[in-house]
Amino acid sequence: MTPRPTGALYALRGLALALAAIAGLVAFWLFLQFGDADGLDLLDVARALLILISTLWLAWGAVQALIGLTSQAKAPPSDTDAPIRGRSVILMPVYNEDPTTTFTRVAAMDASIAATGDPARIDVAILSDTRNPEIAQREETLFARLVAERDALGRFFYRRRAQNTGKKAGNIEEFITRSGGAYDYALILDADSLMEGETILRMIRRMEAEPRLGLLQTLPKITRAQSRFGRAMQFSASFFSPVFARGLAMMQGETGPFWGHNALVRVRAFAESCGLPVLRGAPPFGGHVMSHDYVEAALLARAGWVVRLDDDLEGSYEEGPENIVDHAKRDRRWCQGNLQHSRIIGAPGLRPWSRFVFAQGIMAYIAPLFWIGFLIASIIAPLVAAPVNYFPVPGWPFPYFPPSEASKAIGLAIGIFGLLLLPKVLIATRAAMTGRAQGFGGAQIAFASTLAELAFSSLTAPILLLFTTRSVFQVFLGRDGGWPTNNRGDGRLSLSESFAASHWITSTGLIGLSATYFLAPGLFLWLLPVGLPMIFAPVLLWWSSQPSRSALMTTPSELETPEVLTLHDTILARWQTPEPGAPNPQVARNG
Amino acid sequence: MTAPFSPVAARQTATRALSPEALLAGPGALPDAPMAMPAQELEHPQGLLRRMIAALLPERFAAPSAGARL
Repeated sequence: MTPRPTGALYALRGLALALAAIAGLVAFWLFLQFGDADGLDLLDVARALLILISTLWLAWGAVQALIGLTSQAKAPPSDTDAPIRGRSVILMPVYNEDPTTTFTRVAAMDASIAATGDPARIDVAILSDTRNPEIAQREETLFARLVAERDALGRFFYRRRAQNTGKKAGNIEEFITRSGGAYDYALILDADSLMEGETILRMIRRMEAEPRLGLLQTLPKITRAQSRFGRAMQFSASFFSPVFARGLAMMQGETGPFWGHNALVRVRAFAESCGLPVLRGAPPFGGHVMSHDYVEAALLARAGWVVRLDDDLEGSYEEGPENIVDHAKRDRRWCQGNLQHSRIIGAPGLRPWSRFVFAQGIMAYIAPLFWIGFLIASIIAPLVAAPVNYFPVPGWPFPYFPPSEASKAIGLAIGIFGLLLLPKVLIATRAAMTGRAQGFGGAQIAFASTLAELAFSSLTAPILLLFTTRSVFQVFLGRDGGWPTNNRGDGRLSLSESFAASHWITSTGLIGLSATYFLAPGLFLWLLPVGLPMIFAPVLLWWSSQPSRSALMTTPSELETPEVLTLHDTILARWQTPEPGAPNPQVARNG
Repeated sequence: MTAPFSPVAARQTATRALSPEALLAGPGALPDAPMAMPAQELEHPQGLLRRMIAALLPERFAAPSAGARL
């Protein structure tokens, strides 16, 4: 990707920020007008400020999409078919995941690389931080099978750390300090990653063609979702995210993102720049850096390396959570990691855009607090408002009714909904016009899926808002969320599990709507779309975790299974079927 | 009739002959090729408040050493 001229890049960033700021200021002004109808008080100004911040944040996301709609992802001019000279390694960090599933992913990717016929040397290192001894034993046994099946003696490696110091970042760092000198490039994956061999080779070639490139990030698509929630996330990641990512790619210049997996790093650059210190103090703000990926991207950029998101690259996949509870668990970890960046945002020498990225990450998690603050302030506003004076002129016998500014509030609400809806509707419209919608079941289904996703995300937003708010408070109160294993697989919740996870949301919704009914009855209808999903949170959690077979939310990977996924399915099926006459691995180990 | 020699099959047989422990301790162990990964500076030695106060306060001059007066 040719670096954008600095002037144009700054102009684009300035334009995006200006548009978001204008939207925020318009919302601020409209709310002040509305509040002024019965006399402006301090609470009105506080609410207007909360609306300003919240709208600014929403508008920033919308602007990103609008910018993304103005261009298409393109391969960089340096994309070549030159022979690969460097040595590469695929790093697969694992942590208590099912080794059959993860190791067969390695086998599938290796088979996919082999199928290209390219003679490039690409090793694989499985970096285990597994704590569960039974899973660890299975990893060792299945590694032997993996090596035998892929004929990979001396090419596939496995090691398990005695202590998982520094978690995933520490796991990668331990590999580099021990074996980094053997490689030029390392493809960092997650346990649920899958990448086409052709994509991996193309990434290596792009890195060889650009000596300043320190990290190349792909845009992974979610695959294999089965549940309603999972498929909605999968559709969103496949249909909307590429446009948002395009907007991001256009604005970030050479200071791109690292999302922790499905990315290629130049080992020397990574080693020189990305050694992470332990932050002063105890977790959650001190200790090991949790969301290490954003920090590593910032450190590479600080050292002068190019960090790039090549959103034109297809063939990069991951799996996502199948239910809201698993999503919230993962989000709790990300929340802590992003809030911890408040300690790093002022690190010396960082590029301004890197600091801005940290600020965005922090804002993503504290934004719900502004919305909740606005809602609470609006519910209690009638209690503190001065009574309306219908006879402001002494001695005048006729009452004076202040003019209603309800139209301003309605305009504001429409504007905020517009910021939420418009980007997605525009993405669907463009997909219909360009033919991209064909991969999503055709224009009609893609458009219906867009509307369904909007409805679904509107229903789940109040629930996620409360989960995020709880996470933020937990972090502020100093509670470390630890490093729970990601649940991968079925993810179906029972009603009792859903209730156990969300009864506090139901209580919050009931208290909130009751308070609104008695304190601010005029707001009751307005707050029903927020309060009702909270009250019915257990039902929504259960319903959204159930399998979905609808034509809605169809994605290209469902219509035509990518080759590497087919390879993985085939290998996984074979591994899950015991070979006739095969010895019991446990017996073989102990015998 | 002698079956044609297959190096791939031979290597696979060799791999199968190794126990998981032998594999992990031998050809399956990570290559020994260390590379330094120095810890980077992420935090200022002093907090923001201390740095702001230090910037506002007049600079203190270092006291001359006893040796300088001799």
